[in-house]
Amino acid sequence: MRPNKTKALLRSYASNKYLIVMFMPGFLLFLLFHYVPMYGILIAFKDFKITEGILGSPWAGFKHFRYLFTGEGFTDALRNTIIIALLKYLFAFPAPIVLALLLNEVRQSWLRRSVQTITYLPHFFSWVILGGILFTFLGRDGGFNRILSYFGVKPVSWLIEPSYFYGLIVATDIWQSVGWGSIVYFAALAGDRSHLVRGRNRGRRQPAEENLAHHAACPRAYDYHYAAAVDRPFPVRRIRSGVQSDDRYHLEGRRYSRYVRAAQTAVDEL
Amino acid sequence: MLFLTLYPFLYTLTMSLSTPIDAKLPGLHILPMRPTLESYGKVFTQSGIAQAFLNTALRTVGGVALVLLFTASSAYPLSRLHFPHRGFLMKLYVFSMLFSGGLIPMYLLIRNLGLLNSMWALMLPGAVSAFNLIIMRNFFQSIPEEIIDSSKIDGAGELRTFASIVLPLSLPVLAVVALWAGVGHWNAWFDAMIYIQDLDKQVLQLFVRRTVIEESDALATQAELMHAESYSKETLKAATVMIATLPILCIYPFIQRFFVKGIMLGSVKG
Repeated sequence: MRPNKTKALLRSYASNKYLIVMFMPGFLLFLLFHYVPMYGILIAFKDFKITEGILGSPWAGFKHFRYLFTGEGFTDALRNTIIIALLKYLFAFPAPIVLALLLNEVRQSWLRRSVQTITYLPHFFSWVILGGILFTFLGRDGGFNRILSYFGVKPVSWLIEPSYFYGLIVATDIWQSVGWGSIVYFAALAGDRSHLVRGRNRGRRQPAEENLAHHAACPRAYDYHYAAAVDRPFPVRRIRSGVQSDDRYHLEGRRYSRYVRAAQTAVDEL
Repeated sequence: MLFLTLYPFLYTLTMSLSTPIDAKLPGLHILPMRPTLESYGKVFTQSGIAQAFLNTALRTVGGVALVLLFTASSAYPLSRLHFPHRGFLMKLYVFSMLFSGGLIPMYLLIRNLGLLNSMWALMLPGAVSAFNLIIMRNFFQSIPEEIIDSSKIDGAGELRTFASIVLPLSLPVLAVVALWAGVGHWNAWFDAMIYIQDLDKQVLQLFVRRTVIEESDALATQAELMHAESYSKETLKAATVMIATLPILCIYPFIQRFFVKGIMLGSVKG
């Protein structure tokens, strides 16, 4: 039994040799950059000394975990992470669905198309650029305060006042991703509509136009809503490009880059 | 909605075109009162940005080429049903989407490979990512087996089949992956911040980040030289942001429908 299996495998290798040759370069590159660093997880349980390398450093057990959990600021950071995640679910998650439902009711296709094009524009800029734009825009003398001044609102330092932070992070997230997110939902709704139109052509009973959104569009949208909860464009994008683009980095960029720089100089000094 | 999305961009554009004195004036301007390219001139004479621009262009073009080469060549064998260990290898790729080694092991790996401070450090790690690979493999799989068989009957080997039958049929997916990778590379900055130290190898986004968010040396000295007005700094910042944004804005109208196609390819099936 077993030699046969091996033989079959060898034969399969032989008959696929060109494919294997083709496969290897990309695969090795993938292993190198995605699997080789994984042993670095060990670092969490070690007293890392850069001269010894990760494997050579002495074991430390759960010491670092204890330090982290009892450390100052940890509970704040954890609370903030949870609150921001929940707020994003509450507001940033439904936003593209609402936008898609609204767009679905727009009849003029040129209008709908330009709204779509413009709303997903911010998706294509890095948070560095968006951060730059938002910093200028939301600054004390920025455009936002200028608009508000027309309604008699006094200038507010949006970026400095801590109480606006949650709102800001959710609002900018929506601003950046609502158009992009709505593409999938809108496509689902559009697909649904054409199906109903076809139904009419075949002489089936046609739901009244105003009921369409409720009876036909919504359930379909919910399907995709669940599909998207598993496979959302936004988190996937981060993995896909192999490039970090998290809002943490730009709003807390200053503090974050300090850590990175400290780590860098530590490495350089050796 | 449109206004909300567009205004911050417009505001930055206006700022970048205004003279420092005009930008200081209170009130809301949609268009600059006295348009001038002064700020752009100042930014360009500032050493570094042209180089940064070139570097970014280089890494974008090179990075996209690498992504296409390595991803396509290792996705195709995985799409063939008779390829040995196909299921296991796919699981290996998917697993990497969930776990990664983290920052420090990655940094050490890059250092050990001698890639620190080199453009390769920015282009190679992202060359094969699980997400791109899966998208491509799915597309290759949707090509009917009969077409591939027929080319083999005509005497083409695996490589020939791939190059002259499969790739031309796969242009949509290649375009989509190339665009994703391109935008990702253009906007990426975090990896450059970690791996690159020489200023002449710096990428554009980091240049923007340094001037806009950290407000450090690059333009600040220039601004002090000018009038020591805080507002001239604002216009300079806006101009820097615009320069980094412009290439994407220019090609955006032409490529955005590919993006739409791409997201549909990735998420909604059937």
